[in-house]
Amino acid sequence: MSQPTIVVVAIAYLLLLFAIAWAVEHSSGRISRLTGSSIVYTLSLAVYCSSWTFNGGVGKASQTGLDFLPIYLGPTLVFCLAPLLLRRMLRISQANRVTSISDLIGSRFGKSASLAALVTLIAVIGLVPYIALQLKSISSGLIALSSGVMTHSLAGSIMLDGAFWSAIVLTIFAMLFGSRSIRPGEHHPGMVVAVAAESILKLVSLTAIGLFVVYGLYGGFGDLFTEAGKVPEIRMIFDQIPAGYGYNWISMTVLAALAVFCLPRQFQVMVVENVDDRHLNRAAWLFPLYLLLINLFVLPIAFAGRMMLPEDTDPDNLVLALPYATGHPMLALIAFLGGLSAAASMVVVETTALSLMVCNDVVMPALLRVRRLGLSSRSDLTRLLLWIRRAAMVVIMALGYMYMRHDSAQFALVSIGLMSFVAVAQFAPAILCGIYWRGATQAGAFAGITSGFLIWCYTMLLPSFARSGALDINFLVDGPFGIALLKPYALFGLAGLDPVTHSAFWSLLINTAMLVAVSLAGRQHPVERARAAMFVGAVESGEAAQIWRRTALVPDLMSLTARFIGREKAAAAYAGFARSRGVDPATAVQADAETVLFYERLLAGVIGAASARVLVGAIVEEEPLGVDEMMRILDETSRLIEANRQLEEKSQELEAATGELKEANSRLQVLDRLKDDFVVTVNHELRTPLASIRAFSEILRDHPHLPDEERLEFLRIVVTESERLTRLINQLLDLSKIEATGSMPAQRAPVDLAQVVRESAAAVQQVFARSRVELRIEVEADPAVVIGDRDRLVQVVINLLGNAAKFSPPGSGRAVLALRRTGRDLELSVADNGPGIRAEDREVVFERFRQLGDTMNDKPQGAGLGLAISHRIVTQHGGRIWVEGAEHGGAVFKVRLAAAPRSRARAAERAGGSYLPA
Amino acid sequence: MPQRPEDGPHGRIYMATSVLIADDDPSISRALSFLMQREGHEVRTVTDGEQALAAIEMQPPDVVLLDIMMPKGNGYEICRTLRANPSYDGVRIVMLTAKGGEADQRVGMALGADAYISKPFAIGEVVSCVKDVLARRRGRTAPPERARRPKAGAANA
Amino acid sequence: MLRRTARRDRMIGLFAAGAVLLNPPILNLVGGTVFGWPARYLYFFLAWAVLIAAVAVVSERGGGPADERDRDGQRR
Repeated sequence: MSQPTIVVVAIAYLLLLFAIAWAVEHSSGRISRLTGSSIVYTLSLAVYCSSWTFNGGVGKASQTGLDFLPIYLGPTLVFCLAPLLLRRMLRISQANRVTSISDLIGSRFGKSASLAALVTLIAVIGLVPYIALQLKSISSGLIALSSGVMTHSLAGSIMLDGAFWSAIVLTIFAMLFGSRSIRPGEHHPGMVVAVAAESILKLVSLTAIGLFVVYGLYGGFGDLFTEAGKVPEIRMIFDQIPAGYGYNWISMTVLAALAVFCLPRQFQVMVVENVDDRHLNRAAWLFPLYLLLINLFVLPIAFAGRMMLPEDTDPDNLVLALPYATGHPMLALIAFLGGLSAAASMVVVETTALSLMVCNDVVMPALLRVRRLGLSSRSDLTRLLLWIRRAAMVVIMALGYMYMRHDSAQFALVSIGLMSFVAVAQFAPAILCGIYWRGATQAGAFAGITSGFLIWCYTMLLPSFARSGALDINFLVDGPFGIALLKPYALFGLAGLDPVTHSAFWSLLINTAMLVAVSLAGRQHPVERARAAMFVGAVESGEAAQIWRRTALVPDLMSLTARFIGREKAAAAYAGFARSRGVDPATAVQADAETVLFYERLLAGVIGAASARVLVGAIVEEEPLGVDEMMRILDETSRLIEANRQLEEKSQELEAATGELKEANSRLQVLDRLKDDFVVTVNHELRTPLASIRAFSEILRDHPHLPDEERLEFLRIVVTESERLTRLINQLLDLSKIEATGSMPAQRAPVDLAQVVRESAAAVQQVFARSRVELRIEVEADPAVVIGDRDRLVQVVINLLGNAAKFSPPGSGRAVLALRRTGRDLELSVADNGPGIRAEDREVVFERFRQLGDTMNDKPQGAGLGLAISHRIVTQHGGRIWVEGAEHGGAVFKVRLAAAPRSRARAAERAGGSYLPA
Repeated sequence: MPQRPEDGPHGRIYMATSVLIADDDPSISRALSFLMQREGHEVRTVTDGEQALAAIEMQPPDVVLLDIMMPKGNGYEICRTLRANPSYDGVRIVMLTAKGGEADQRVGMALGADAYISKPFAIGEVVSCVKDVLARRRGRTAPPERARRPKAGAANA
Repeated sequence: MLRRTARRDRMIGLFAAGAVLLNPPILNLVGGTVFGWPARYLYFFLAWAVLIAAVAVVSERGGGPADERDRDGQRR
């Protein structure tokens, strides 16, 4: 494939992306609403996957196996904490109109311009190698694709040419995307959508190559892995634990976790470009899912590359080389476009973010301070701002190009990327302490970041120069001036770690230690304390504003702001603010502290907090405020807030208590209704036999000359009904006794169910004989010991047998009482061949007084309490009772009880089957 | 609806009065049928709601002794069904209940029952009650019947 | 209030679980091959996918009243 063709395709692709961005920013249709989507937000986060993922990950996988994965595990874990950490960062940043990571740190620590400038400086130095790496990857891909050379040894000039031109093209694109106009809040919706589109292409491209390798070159995953297992070096990766897997893996995870919110480009897409903080909820899992998908094929591609390609192939070129070498140039082109997407999106967003930081936190504050230039009185500064940013982009890209020329061949892609990760991770302690710990001071942040950065320079940057020959290599081997303790890769004698882990450990440790120590040792300036309180979330911004006591004239502030964001936008914003406070925007002239703060934030959204503070400070009169007074205000405010918080807590508790009370009440009402039903039913059940008794007694009294036959019949009825009444009363007493013992049986002793069965059967023998029903007993478990109340269990069995006798047809009735073991339980069943119980009634038969009139031809002899009592007894024993349909139409009542533990069962056996309480 | 030929304004007086006893408790049913037979009435017994309706449809009785708590359609439902059909206007309804609350009595009367007896009852009470409603029926002329119906309807609503 | 903290606590729990299960030394316990596949590769991606699924369930289902309150808090 010829080089011009590839370049044309690449440029056409970039132009297409730009067209998308342009459409997003200029149309009002569906496409402009894309930025409001959580999917686009998530895809824009995937700018995290630069060409390092695309090419470097495969390269690393081919060397060391799974080592590339911590880079994606870290972000996954951080996104688990999205509701705590990221959301908080987002809220704070949005409330303070923060436009970059340096802005965030600067505004937290007293709007310090010098701190923001330091952060910017570190970011630029730290990220230049990372940008260089993208340039290297694009140009080597370009060359590999056009010449077929896949090895390390590229002819120097061509390589540099490719990188040079790609640097220029990317700079132009970065300018087009990132610095076409000044917008309040620094939103770049076009860029975000373009980045999202590139993320889709990255994923599709790598997946396509992966599928091609796994299913095109091999017969699926299994085949590929089997083949790979035959190669001894790859086999080693399967089985062994490579040396670095311990600390190395963990340190990579930590670094990646910190980088995912400290990298300027990540901060840009995650925080600055965020339009709705609910998107984080979706991104919390969707972004890790993207990372998982894009890494799914990395290992197979790497293994295939090692097996199929010559030894000297550059590992970072495997993705391209595999389809190319197997005769699929179109696939190779797709792979190239994927890599280009990864590199381009990273470079564009990173330089945009960095140029913003350089402009807002370094150049503008400096220019504004130089009064000779008279900048603060110039009428339109937007063009100046834009040109500063464009210049910054050019400088950053030039630095990247120069670094690449100097150093690029020395390290693989992954190593360079990790170097940058360690650099930006130096911001993490200041950010995390800044948003969670009120006591972190500006001096502490300064000391921490500076020391961390210096250690990074010493343990990462200088060695990288030394290895490229710019410094004496002895510096690495023996330490500076031969002092072994100061060897950059084994500082203070800490040997045995790989350089990145080593550097990350020392720099982050000393960074954090300095931050905490200096913060604890020093004192916070009152203004700083107010800002800390605001960040940590204890003090509302309006209240913090009074601490400054700054006053100014509204027209002054207005004209100042108008120069940066335009008169109309400034007027509209102020009108909204004034309305929200109930002030007439037309008449208010004197701006109070809160109004000043509002303007400052409005400006900060455009030129950064540091610059805004300088500008506003020029026209604002600041009343000196005594420390005592400041403390008083602060104390009062925090007391109020504390009281308020307690009040809120109390009212929530109260609300919860009310809810519980309501619930309890409704439960009580249900119980009450059940009780009512019960009383009504008992009333009915008592009155019915009584009615018969009274009626027949009166009949016998009033008709003395009845025939003997009738008289006898009536007397028998009276007797039967009296018995029924007695039974009912007995059962009611039983029920109340059982209910009185609560959820436990009255006795808890080992009981042999086999004995219970025999005894109950003997007790009901008469009944069965009378109703001419045959009773068969099948005891398969003997002894069958449970823990419980023996008399109650006998009652259950007798109840069930009584039912069976009652409902089995006289003469042909057959009932079976069985006892068997099912697993750890014992199951007792009583089957009859009566009319059975309909499926829909099988639950309710256990309720008190449930009459199943439909299946009963005549009035049951019991009072309908037998099953209810049985149910209660079984439940108290922790068992279950239910009814099933028998095969030939009858009903089977089953009781399942837990068998007693073996030891207690033996105790019962030893006792010879007698039931001593245990 | 089968109309009985002797259902004229005077013809029935000389006929045996027919009583339908609807109660699911066999003992009470037996006691009531003994009493009604002793009074010289023609007695049929049923044990649930469905049977009661079927028996009434087959041959409307003069009096129904209707238990309230019965399977397959309780006394209230049967009462409402009967009163919704004008051809059963001649059927007197005596409610029997073991609930014994005054509220139940009011419900029964509002649904168009003619009398209400709670269990346990004195046999004299039942006999006189049945006599009473039958007498009311015999002494009744056309206009009061029309006057009754809207009243029952209003109470129903 | 309760539901919001419950969701937060669940997410912290998932974070801890992921940190422990997907890092050495637990990760190093898995080695060799399963049906010819590298066991560690299989384990890592499976555990990773499960973690993501769990986060998805917690963060998507955590809606409801607690979320409403969250949004109100933001508007302020």
